[in-house]
Amino acid sequence: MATKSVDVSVIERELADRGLLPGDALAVYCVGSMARGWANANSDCDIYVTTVSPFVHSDSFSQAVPLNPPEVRTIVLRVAGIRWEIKYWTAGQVEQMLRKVNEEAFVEGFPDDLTQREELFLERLLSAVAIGDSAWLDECRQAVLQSRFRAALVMRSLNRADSMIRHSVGQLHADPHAAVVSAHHAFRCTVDALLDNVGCHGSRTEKWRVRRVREAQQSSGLEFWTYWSMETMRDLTNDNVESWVKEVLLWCRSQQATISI
Amino acid sequence: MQISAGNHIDLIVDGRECGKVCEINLLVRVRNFSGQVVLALEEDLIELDELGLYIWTRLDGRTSVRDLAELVSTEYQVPTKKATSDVAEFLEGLASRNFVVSVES
Repeated sequence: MATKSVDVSVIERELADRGLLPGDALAVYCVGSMARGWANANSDCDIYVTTVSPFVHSDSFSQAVPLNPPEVRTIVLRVAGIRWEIKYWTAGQVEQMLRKVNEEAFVEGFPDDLTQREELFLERLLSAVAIGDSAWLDECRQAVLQSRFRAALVMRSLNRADSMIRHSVGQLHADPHAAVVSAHHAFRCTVDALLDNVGCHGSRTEKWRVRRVREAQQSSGLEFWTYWSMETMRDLTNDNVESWVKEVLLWCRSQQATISI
Repeated sequence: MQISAGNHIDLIVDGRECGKVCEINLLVRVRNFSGQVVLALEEDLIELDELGLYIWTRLDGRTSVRDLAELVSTEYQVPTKKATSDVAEFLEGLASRNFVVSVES
């Protein structure tokens, strides 16, 4: 598989030359597929910058977040044919996001109030590659690992699986084909729970599920070809719809017992 | 394959009729809170001990009570008769609360 990797020195130099490194930057880090070593020829280069105060730049646009300040300034540019997206988060915003995943918030029902953008930020911290000094990033990563972020994502995936299992059971006799789709969805949610449980997050970006399964097959206990067989519905035929659905749902339930929250 | 969801599964022990096959009620939610495994069916909750979890994870709709008892006997080094009795008692308890159903092949 051809992948692209991060060239840290290029990123740092490019940002500096374009005046995109604020003086009060606490950390600059590459995130997403490039940082995880999963990037392909069409992948973006995603960069986060954490600053003390909000960064103002004439080329930036605003993306709303339910934080204070209520926006993330973002700049998109192309470097050597690759799309770069640079987001500027303040340290205060990061602290607020970490508060949303602490023990108290977990008990009160997180992650319903964590937006996709915030969740992606926290998830990406775990695999981010520092550009320059990594002290701030290391500290933040520890804070995420010590929070209830993982447990909350596991719970959400399990709850989604529960819901799809219930639908599938209900549909099994009235509409077996719908039951297949629901069972398949339940399977994917259960896989997400297994992966979330070992810190391999990404349930909001389905395109990377295969990569996540492959990467975490040792720690999750989910062997790749077992996953692949069910993901591609290899054993499903017109004659075994009911037994296939039940097999998948039983697998989901048996996995639930192994996922420690 | 017919499924009879029931409040009672007659699992006769002592060498008689243990060929019955059970499987989990798929509507039962399962959560593992740091090793404490809890089954939930609507508002009804059951906490599983180690043996209960061992049996629960093998209720696949194919393994008979007799076979389960053999597995338990081997795993926990207990006589087959005792294992059969324990498995039957456990399953009857679950069945009475609809956490398992019997399967007639």
